[in-house]
Amino acid sequence: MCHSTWPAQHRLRSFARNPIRIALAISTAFGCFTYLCEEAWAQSAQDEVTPPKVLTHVDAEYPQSALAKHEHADVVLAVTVDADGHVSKTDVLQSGGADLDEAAIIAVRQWTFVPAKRRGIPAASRIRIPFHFAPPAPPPEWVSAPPDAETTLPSKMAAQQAPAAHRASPTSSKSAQEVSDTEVTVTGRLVAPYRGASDFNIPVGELRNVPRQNATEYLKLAPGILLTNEGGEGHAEQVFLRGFDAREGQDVEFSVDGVPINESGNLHGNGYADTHFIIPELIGSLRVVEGPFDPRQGNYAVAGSANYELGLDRRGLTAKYTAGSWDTQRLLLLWGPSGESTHTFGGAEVYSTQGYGQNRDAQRATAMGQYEGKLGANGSYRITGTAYATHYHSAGVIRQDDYDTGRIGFYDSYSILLHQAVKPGGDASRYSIAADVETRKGNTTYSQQVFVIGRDMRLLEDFTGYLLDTQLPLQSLHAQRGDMIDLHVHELTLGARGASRLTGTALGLEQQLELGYFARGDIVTGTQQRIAAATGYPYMTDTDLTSNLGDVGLYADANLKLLPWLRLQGGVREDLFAFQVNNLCAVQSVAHPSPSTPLDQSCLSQADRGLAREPNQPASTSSIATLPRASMLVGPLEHFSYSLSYGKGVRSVDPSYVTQDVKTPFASVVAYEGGVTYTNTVAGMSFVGRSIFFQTHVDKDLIFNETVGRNVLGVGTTRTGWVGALRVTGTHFDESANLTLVRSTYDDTHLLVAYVPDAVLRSDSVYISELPFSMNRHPVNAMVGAGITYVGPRALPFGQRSDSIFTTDVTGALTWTNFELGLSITNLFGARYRLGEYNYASNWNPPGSGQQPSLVPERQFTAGPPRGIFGHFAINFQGT
Amino acid sequence: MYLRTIQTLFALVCVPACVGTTGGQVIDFDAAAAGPKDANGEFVFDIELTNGTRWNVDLTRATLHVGALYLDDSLPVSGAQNTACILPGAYVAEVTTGLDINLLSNARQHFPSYGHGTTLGVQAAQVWLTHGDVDTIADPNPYPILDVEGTAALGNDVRPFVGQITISNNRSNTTGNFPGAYPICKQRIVSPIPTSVGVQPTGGLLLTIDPRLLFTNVDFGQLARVSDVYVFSDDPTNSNPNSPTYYSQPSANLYGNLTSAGTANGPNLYSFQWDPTL
Repeated sequence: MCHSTWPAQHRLRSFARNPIRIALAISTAFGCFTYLCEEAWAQSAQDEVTPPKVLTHVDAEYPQSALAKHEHADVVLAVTVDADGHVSKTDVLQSGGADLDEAAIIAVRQWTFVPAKRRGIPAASRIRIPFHFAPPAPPPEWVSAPPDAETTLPSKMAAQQAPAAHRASPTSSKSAQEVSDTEVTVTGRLVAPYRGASDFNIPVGELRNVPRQNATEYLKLAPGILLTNEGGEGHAEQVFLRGFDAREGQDVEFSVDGVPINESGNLHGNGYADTHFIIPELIGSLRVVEGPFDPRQGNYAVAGSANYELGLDRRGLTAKYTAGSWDTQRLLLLWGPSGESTHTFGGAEVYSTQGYGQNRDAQRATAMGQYEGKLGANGSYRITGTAYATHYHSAGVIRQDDYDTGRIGFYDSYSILLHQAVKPGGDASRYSIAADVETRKGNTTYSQQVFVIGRDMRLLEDFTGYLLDTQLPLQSLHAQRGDMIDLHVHELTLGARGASRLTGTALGLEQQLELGYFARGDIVTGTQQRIAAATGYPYMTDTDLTSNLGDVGLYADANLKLLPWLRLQGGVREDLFAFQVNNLCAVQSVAHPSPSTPLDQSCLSQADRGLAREPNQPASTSSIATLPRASMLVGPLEHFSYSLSYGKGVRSVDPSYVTQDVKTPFASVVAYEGGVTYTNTVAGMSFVGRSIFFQTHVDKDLIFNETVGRNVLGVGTTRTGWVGALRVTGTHFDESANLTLVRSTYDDTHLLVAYVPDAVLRSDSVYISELPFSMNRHPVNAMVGAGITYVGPRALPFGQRSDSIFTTDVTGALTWTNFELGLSITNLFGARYRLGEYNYASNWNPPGSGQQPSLVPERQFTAGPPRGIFGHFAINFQGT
Repeated sequence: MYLRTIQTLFALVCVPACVGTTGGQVIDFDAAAAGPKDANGEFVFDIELTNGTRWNVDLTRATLHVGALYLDDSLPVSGAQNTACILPGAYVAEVTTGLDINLLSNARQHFPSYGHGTTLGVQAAQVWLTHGDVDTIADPNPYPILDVEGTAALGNDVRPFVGQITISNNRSNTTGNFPGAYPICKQRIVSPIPTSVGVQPTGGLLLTIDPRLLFTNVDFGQLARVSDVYVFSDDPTNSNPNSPTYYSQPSANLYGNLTSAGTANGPNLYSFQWDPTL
């Protein structure tokens, strides 16, 4: 090691007097520097493969049936280690006889590993493990276990140590650690090159134990995420990220194993992303890129992107039943067939709850399945299917003054108070199938994916009560009928993506170039009507759109190593967005109406003085977005990687804004950032720390308008901030903590953008240990975990600030053999907090109440959940 | 205590970031109404008609019920088209509890509850003359919106008069060609009243109503006599000149003056100001 040749400090004085020594030292230093650069680069870039390491090791038993032969034999196994570190498949490369082969297989299936990693993400790998069987001689011959086999992170329901008997161990004195180091093939898929400090590849690992309600909450493992939900359990979470109010996905590109989740043309919000169809236990890792820095990022990657990678670590059949507060019940079945990779799995869940407070009940069922198979020697394919359906209600907002006067309770709903005929809530379903293939030929890796998604959604929302249905001069006479929105969206998405990555050598270093494409077409129908509160009848059609939307993107991404410690990467992406929109309710008002056509008739068939026209209006247009992205990664110092990144991203326009032959406006973002990443392993603990300064500018931001029930175009905004993140993983614990500070302002007034949090602090912690006793000679493992969130007071319209949010969720579980018993408490301290706070006009005094309406902005809020207690029991069959 | 300490420590992380504002303020303010400054329990004034006739009026009672007040940040452009009852733009301030106002007193008569608003600019105001829901035709309250009494004199012609104006079924007009052309809310809401009140974090909203302007161009000589007094009719559908409740010029003009939003140059029946002493 270089540092061992560096002169000790106490010799410096005499050393400095000798020019030859100085010259030698300089050259040594330069060489050392180069070495350090390479080493640091290798670590900080997180781009290389690391082999699996043995965690727990079980010797093979010398079978009784072979004792008679009393012979020595060698068995060599090829073992597939899953991304979770378990053995999923074994093949006999060299047989020692059926009995010995079986003994070796039985033993190795109980081994656990620190999985192989590719760019820091656990990946499946295949290693050779030779066993040498020696017949027992009195006293039995023992071979010592690998040195690191005793200090392990016990996996839940870990395989049990076989009772002492005649044993065989990995061959000779060579530890399993060394074996795996030298004979490893990692079989994971290609991953996108690391784009800098804001590129978060997040293995979920044991942090999956921290209480989370759904897949969206896994985003909290990335910095700066605040999730709120005013729409109910079946409604997508509103995501705040780095000063962006990304609504339900409009500013974050969501995907699952590359299949897009954002719904183009969704009337509730273009890019609406509902991740509730993902069974949380099937999430293996996430890649969250906070910013548009990767040419693979497409539409909606304004604040960034999040890709869920599915995988099931546990093999066998796992059944889990959860029950707890608010009559919540969940039955989960997971199936990971032994011998298959972690990407082959099936899962299904059924969930129901009455919800806290009023009108928050929900039911849902989800099924997901994936099969991964090999494609020749250098390829693999996956086929994935998902199905999801839900029906739910939502409590909506509460006016602060109504709560202050005791008119309504903190967890109540106006829909109950006012006896509305139709309660806010909705229905949603999503069905999809996807297939992808990846194969390598020579220096080029090819990938191809196709997907089909069907999605339906009904959303009943009421933010304003009895505010908007005012008497217009030419309407039929009416009182306020209620503002409830009844929104329907039906969407069919067809798409594909593919890429080829060429790897070559230049400047003595490995260089890469990837060319890829993404294409999707969406056929969307969306209607929005207003529902009379008293009857539940629709009385007006706001919108009725049929849209055919196209997005075809091409990109080139170069990954150039100029020096061992200097890398330039980036490229350009071009997306063509095409729109064909037929507005079936184009005529909402008549310039000179006739008596037979009052204004409250929707979708009119005349425009002026009785002049006939059809009520629809087609419009079509297209536009091209050119999106340059680049990053420079510098790693001259050991353990540190510095990055500068630039990128431009876009969000396509809502189809309701499309005008014939007028180029579709984009909301485009330009992002800059500089960051540093620190990675190190000390005393068996892995550290990854990041510090990032960033600035983003959006030219036309979308601002949520409660009165129209969706986003409307606003003016330009700028965000400036800092992110700090740390993840520490040890043998018994896993800790992730992050802090984001950001300032979001309008370009014209320099006033703050309302609703986005200035400060978000999040911590996820899990500690696992084997208890100092066993039951029936099987160890008992214990796990405790906690998730802590702090969100500073958010800026609200009219100079207001919201309350801060501080919540603590805790969990604990005991595992013994194949059983697990756990308890989770959400909102441990029972904090009564406002998850969402808003300032806008609403009027919850129905006609005839004698109260004059409130027309001025007033504080409204959605209540965060109170303390919830949930217990679960799980059992695994045939698992490892 | 422990939890609060933790929360305070966490709040420290917000210090460098949680600064700045979205602009404006939300305020709760006192609201009051009064007659003109020279009101002292009785008004004696002259009304000169367009034909030169000059009535001398001794107004001894003038009570007006105001159901609500609203201030808006935009003033609709005047045009031929009918306007909606609710103004476009954003409402800036509101007082939603009603008050019976003695217009013959210059004392500030406070609305029962505080008003609520923001510090945006104001261009228009609305006075809601209603006891109940503005869209419900039948007024649930039997009391009049306006109650006036006094004596009008033209030389030796001395006419004691009374007037009680309601806005209920009597003002409903469904006979127009277009449905909704005359919604009852249009009758009840005096709008848009041009005003430029600067809503401030301190002080309150003062509505001044000059009852003398109720009688602009009111020809007391056309009032019908019922018993000993002359009565303003409250039945706009009555076109029978022989009826004691015949809806004649003075009744129409009194009602017209009551519901007139006025002009930017005034003088207007209703005037708003932000009073720092409230």
